[in-house]
Amino acid sequence: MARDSFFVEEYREAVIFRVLSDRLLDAETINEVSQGLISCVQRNDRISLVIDMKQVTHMSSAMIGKLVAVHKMIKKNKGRISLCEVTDSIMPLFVVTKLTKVFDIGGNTEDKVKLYNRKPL
Amino acid sequence: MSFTIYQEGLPADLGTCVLDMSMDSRIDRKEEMINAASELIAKNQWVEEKEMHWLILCLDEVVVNAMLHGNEGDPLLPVRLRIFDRSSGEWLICVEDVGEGFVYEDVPSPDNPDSIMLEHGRGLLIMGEWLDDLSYYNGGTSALLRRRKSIP
Repeated sequence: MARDSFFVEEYREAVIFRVLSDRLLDAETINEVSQGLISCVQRNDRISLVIDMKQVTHMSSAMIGKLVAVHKMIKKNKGRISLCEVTDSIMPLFVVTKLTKVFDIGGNTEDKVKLYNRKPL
Repeated sequence: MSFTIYQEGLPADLGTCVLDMSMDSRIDRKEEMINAASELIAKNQWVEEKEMHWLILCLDEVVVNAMLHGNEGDPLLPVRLRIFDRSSGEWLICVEDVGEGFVYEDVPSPDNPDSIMLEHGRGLLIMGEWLDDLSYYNGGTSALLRRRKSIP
């Protein structure tokens, strides 16, 4: 599945959601990315979702709210979610909002997929 | 949290106004206001290139707050943005809506375990992380963002 703002790769034990937009600020892009994430979660009962954030240099609090919503959906179904390759520009947003305590953040996207493949749910 | 809400009006001496623009609360056109402000500050080199993403983020948060929360999304209500050059080596951005304002207690705190998973309410916290000062006047309808210039 692909849109201008994201690309999804589905593997045996994990789904990679690659964010392609560098700016997650305007409502249209935020809604497109958010709907893409929700669609991934709804297609998989217990998803292991790896969100590749390496392109993202700007992100608003509205997008953070959408990520929190997706996190809640996944945890409710006892799935897993990781934010990988978070750039230096947006990492402080997770620190100041204390969401580093909530999200699994950091590391390489492909390494995280390998880890999820080694340890299926 | 690093912001203050004053009931009184804006301070008398804000500095020299270098940009004054108003627009309706059209969230689909917010970039016009954000771009005009960020381009002026970039042109004056008041913010280092490596920190421009913070400026754009702060502008986005404060304009969206004014349009969606202050003016409650009513596209007919105006938002005014001004930029001031201060002789003290600082710049100020003032964003005003025509809504009812807000109170400190309405803003979720990340230190409250019940708030951390809310899907809203982080904009002020994020702005306060980068700005030297974030204050609201007129009961919350006038936001004043202050930061020292990178090149005074």
